[in-house]
Amino acid sequence: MERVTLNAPGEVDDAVFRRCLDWYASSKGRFALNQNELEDVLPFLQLHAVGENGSKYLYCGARSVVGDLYGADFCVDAQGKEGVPDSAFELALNRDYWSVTRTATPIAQRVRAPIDVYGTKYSVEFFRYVFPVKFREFNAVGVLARFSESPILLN
Amino acid sequence: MVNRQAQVSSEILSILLDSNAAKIQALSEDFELAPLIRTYISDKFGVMSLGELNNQQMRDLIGFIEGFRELARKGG
Repeated sequence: MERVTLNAPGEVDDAVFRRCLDWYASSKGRFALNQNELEDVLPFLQLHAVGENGSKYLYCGARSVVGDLYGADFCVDAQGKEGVPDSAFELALNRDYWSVTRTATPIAQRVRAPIDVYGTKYSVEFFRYVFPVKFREFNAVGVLARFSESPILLN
Repeated sequence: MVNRQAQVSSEILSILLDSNAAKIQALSEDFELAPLIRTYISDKFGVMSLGELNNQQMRDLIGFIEGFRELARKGG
């Protein structure tokens, strides 16, 4: 897996990514603020409850990259699951959730990694923005991932 | 007689729907979940408002909200 920090995430050429950055900039992650802008990006987001021993889905948007890879049905029933079925992929990426929660500071990265989708292996490359979300006093993490390239089937 | 039974069934269903809608409203206010609820029912049921859900779908939604609250209570 290759991960590179984005120094200028606002320059990512993706409208949903920029709308998410704008919502976070104006709300600082407070779920109750700027709800119209939030609802534009929610179907693309994943929301996670984060503890010291891992994280679980609160919500997985049907139009997220997880939905693209594993299907919308996986997403609508994802609440309570620890992540995508490829546990090595999940573990490598969700380590950041704890630090984002603890520091209340978003991270933006470009990621390239292999992923197993129900027995078929792909190489995926995507931008991701991991940011703190507050539901009143409950702190969670939001993740927006957007493909920068189409997934490539690996033989 | 059949009409009377149909009317009573309809009234019971209406009470159940009202009751579940009120419960959803109360549950969602704890965590300001209205945007998430709107997105969830659009994702899962393809509808835009609570008024379009049937009783079974409302129960599913209540389960989703209660699952959220439980995860929030316990942390990840």
